[in-house]
Amino acid sequence: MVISSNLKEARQLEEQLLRDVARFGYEEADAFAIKLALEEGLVNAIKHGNKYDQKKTVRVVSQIDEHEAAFTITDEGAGFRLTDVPDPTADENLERPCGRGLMLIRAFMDEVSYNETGNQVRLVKRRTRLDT
Amino acid sequence: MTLSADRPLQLDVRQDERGAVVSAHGNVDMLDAPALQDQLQKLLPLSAPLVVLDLSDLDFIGPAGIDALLTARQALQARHGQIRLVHPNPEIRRMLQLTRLTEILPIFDTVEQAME
Repeated sequence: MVISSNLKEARQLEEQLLRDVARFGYEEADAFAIKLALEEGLVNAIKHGNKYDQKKTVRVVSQIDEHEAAFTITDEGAGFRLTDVPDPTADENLERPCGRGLMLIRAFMDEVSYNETGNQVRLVKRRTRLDT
Repeated sequence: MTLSADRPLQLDVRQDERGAVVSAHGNVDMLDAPALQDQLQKLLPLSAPLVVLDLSDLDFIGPAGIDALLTARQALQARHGQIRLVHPNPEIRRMLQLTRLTEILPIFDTVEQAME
């Protein structure tokens, strides 16, 4: 799936992916985590990666089954280094818009990994099984 | 609640002599965050603004929505006002706890408690 650097398209894609997840019966907490991670991943790709350049695209690959939901989001930007992102829980950063989203997706998802360039993120959520 | 069937954001506002209650329904995603921030900042002219944000019917708020809350909080603080939150769902509460924002955005169980 490919979208332009447009938040409305990102929202539509996110909704489609969440419908795909719902078909496999993921619990609401899992769905929340996936929505959070997709939103953060797509916004970062559009805003920080592609700088809202409408000529640049964001590519999303999803692999969803009854065991896990995995998404790979790739932008056309220069990439970033996770080590350059400030700690949002430090006292001096508490009210600043820096790094909070990245921290949350690492907390809510089971796997978060980046390619070497830093313009691709892979997000994985393993389905919570309440019957085990 | 089914996040795959997103309810659009709806904000209801009521005011009395104690302050304002903003009830948020649905979702605050990347595109809704500005509307939330705008509504909260419209309440700035209150003389001693206490803004209670009722989250009991909110399914989701993303990082952009959290940033909107913080921006509104800073504006209110400049007028000696404050924002208090009511009954976020467990996932939203967890977001606020992980980011330490519960230290600056107090959470109450009910609107009445928050208005005291």
